[in-house]
Amino acid sequence: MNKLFHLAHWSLVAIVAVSVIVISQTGYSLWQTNQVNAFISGNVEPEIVPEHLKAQFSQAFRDVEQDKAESALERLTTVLGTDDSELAAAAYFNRGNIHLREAQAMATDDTARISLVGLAKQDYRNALLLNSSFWDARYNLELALQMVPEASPDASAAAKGKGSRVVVKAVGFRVDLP
Amino acid sequence: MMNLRYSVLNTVMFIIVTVYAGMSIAADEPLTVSVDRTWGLLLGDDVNVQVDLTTLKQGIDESSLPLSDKRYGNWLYLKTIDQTAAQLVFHYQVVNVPQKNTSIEIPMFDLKLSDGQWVSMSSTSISIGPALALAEGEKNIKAKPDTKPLLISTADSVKRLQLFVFIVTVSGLILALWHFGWKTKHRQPFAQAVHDLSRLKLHAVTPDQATRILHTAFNHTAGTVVVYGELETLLKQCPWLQSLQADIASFYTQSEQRFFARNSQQGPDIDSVRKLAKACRVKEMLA
Repeated sequence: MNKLFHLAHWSLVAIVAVSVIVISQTGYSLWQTNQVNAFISGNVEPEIVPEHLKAQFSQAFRDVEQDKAESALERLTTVLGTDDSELAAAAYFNRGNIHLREAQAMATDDTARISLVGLAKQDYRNALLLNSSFWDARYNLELALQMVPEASPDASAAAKGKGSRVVVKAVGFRVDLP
Repeated sequence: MMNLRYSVLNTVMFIIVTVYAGMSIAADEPLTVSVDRTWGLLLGDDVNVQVDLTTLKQGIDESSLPLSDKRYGNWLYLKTIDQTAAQLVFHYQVVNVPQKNTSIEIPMFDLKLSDGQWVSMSSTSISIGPALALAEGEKNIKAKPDTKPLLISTADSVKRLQLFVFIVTVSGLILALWHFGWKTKHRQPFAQAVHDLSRLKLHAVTPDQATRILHTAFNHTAGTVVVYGELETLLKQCPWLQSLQADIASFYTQSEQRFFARNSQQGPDIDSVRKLAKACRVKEMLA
């Protein structure tokens, strides 16, 4: 019985020691997170932007507000490397918005407008692939599609009532390395 | 004889042709396709197309499936394909919409069976359309603004912190009670003895002091002064001390020789007193 009590006693001591280590680590990590959150919410403005991708996203948002579109695009492209699908979708969406705004500012006969809208559409589509409930991305993608439609001649005919179906048939095959 | 041979040969040929024709027909029949939602689909909506494979005797050759993560046609993007023995599920997303509601065909693929034959999927249509009414042109519609910066969630860290603070508090409390006991007035006799002996560890303690502390614990346990001759009474009163009878008797013998003999002898040493006090405390806790 003595051994059992001994064991219980030292187990408790070990639990306390491990817990204290975990508390220190978690506390430090929480402090760091709060520092980044303070930057994101705009309460502090350190000279160096924290490396955290959400901080980069936040800085890109500010860059857009300050008309620094190029810098914002670079930062948002960095953010796309994240594993967080919510953040990646938001980054795609904001990047698409930058392209869309630039396209909207151009004359309708400007050829660069089509490629910018194309970039915007691709970004919105990527955002929707990550989160199909992203209603703002749906909305802006549809707007971009109205600016530069993608419908094929067949589909246009279908819309006009001349035809009713667009059939796509592909024989499946893979082009893989052996 | 010749007639019989011809009729047997004819029958065999007929069976072979019938079976082969049946197999060809089976392979030519398109697979049944169903869609989870066929109308009112908007941009960004997910469309799941189920292909029934239960009519097939052979499995589908996986290498003949179309590539996923790829756009097929004008309207749909194939995200993934789930394959089971009973069905194939094509997960599409609508990535483009016409300006008016339109019926479109789901992409049809030819699939290879494991025996090398090909089967096709039956044709199915869905209705897709726009969500925005742009009668006055897109210039009058403002794009949705940028997504605002997202804060890093600290909920998990806070929960973990709270959990471990709780664990430390409870464990620390148990350890404190273990070492120091409850309030002195509630402390049991041997707990008090162990406590006193451990406290005396820090200071110089004589064997006599240690022996007196343990005697006090025995006296409080029995509710009376216990002397060497009355050990039986103590053990009857506290049967949980029975297993330590030999050690207790030895302690009392040494103690008597130390304090009451004409020629005072060496009393119990401190370590054995501590050991006995701890053993009694263990029994006391379980009593």
